[in-house]
Amino acid sequence: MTGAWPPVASLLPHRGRAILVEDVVALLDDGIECRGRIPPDAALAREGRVPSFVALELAAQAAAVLEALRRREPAGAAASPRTGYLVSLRGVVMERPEIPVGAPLSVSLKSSGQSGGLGLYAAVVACEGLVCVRGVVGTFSPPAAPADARQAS
Amino acid sequence: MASQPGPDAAWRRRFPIADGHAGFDGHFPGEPILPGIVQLALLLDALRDRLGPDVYLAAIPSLRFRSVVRPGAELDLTARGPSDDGRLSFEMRAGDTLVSSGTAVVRRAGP
Repeated sequence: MTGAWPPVASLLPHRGRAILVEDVVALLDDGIECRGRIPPDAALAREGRVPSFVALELAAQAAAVLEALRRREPAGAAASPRTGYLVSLRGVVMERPEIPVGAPLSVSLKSSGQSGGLGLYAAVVACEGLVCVRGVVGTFSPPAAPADARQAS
Repeated sequence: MASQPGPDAAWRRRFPIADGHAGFDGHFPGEPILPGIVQLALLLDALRDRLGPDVYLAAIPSLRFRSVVRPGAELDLTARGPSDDGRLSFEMRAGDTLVSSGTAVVRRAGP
């Protein structure tokens, strides 16, 4: 499915330079594709570069965006952020040591399992068209509480 | 004569996480949580101190984040390795709380 989605800032609790996802490219039956980049003033940036594993945060944020969009799908309602956590990494391979800040990144996620708030996603992150990180990202989103409905990663 | 520590010998490093650590900026307003990737960056810092500035994390076969890290925490890293194939195991604790544990593979960046 392609089309217009709410701004990612409305789907994530992250703010400022912590937000790595810039926009949604496609919402799929079993996943999502997003674009993003590492801000030049990112917390882990050194001399214009970050370790490639920083792209795993982009993947985790894409998972949070996917879960927020899924929550709004049945009624087309507002997709509010919800607290959640990056809980596991499995089979992650960094194809290069570092990636440059500011470079366009693309992330493709495919859901590989959902159970009781736990989500597993096969993630591939590419930098300037070349795969830089791939692996399985695990997230956990507790059931929504009325007074604390936010999504983290 | 004391023997040289082998690749399976445990080594440790402590990381104080200041209230103003850059990783908390925007992550999240009113509910600061240290991003998991910052723990990987701390591990990499420790590895570069031991092995040299050209090493990097090439793979993470498995890793579990078990507890969130808040401002003011003291993270204690305990690691074993890397072995000849670059693999190491590690865990992070904040006091008695296990924060994360897993395995990683380190390599040296090429020219």
